[in-house]
Amino acid sequence: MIDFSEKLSAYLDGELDDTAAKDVEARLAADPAAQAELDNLMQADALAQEELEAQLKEPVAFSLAQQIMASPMPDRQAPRARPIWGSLAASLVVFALGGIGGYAFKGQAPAVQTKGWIAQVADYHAVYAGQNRHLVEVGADEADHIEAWLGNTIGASFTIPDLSGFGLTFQGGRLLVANAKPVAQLMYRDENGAIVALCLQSSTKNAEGPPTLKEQAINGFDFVSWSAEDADYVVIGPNGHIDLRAIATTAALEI
Amino acid sequence: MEMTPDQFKTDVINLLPRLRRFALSLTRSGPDADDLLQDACMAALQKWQQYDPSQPLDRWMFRVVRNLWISELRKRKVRHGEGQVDAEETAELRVAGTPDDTFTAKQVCRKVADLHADLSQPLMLVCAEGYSYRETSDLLGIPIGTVMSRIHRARKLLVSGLAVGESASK
Repeated sequence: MIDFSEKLSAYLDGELDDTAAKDVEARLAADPAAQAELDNLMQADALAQEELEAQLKEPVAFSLAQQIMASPMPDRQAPRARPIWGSLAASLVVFALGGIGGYAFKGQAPAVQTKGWIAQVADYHAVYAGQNRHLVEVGADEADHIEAWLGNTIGASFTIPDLSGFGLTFQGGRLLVANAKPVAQLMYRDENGAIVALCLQSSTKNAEGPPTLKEQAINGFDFVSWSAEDADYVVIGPNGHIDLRAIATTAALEI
Repeated sequence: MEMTPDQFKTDVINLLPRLRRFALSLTRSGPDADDLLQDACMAALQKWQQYDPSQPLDRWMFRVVRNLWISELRKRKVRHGEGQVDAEETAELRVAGTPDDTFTAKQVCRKVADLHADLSQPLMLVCAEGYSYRETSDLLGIPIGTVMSRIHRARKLLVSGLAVGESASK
């Protein structure tokens, strides 16, 4: 027999059937103490959700993302030469021998990525542009932190460009990984909700002079890329949506 | 639906913050959570053939994380000279005491992090991940009734912590 107090929790979670939910609602309407208990449970829930949401913002080791990108994977269609647990155990032995797991493959295994960094950025953009609440890791209200954090992480300093002249509002930033190297992603949203991202990755090209803009389309997105000094840059937006070339020109001057 | 290794890796990387939060709810320790997360990701890459792309990847990854943690707990128990441990028992291994002990001890829990792992796990899955009681029951390997009672206990402990905090601030 479930006591009423537990039923309140289940009610809060939408786990009661219609009849039980109506019983709870009738009791809540007639019993102020029951309503007070529900209010307390909701307050506890709000506290829990706030704390658990904050945990999502705790940093995950960059080396882990790097390691995932660089780790070889067995062929999905290939017949397994041994039971999966044998394979799993073997992989764990590799990590044990590697000493510190987070760096076990660093600089050893050949990168399996064969796509250029812009194609990988396209993959990321396809995922993140659809996000609303979790569009960015760090919001626009921490612009100074984004510049310091992402600049230090990718090894190329930058200033967040003001693209408001194109109707774009800066939303915040995110750290990505492409070709086993960190990428800074700056996200903007226009008044219609379309997402435009500016991504940069450190480079050893040391390009000099005015940047040469290169336009291309990948997976339904338009890209305008260029190289300058110690970094490569790309602006990404939905196909034919915005004048990305003009945005890229402004971004190249301001960043 | 076909899935490439790159897509799988990208999806796993996108899940990292949520996977770490789940690992934290199991281990109650940041360093342990980071170690567990790393092991789980590497294990997932090696056995990705077993993943059905028509199913949610988060569910599959949570299961990988949890199974590895159970295995780790079993190893720790054996290392501490307590002999072999059945999987069923390991699933219910306690970090310290039981949820009931924690509850009746009237420990002040002002945060989810203060809660016993057995209480915080279902609370996290339902409140933060939006899992149903049934999905939580399947993932954690405990009956639905236990899911319901643990979530309720977790909330009651947080309520009592709030009450203590309010009286202390007066």
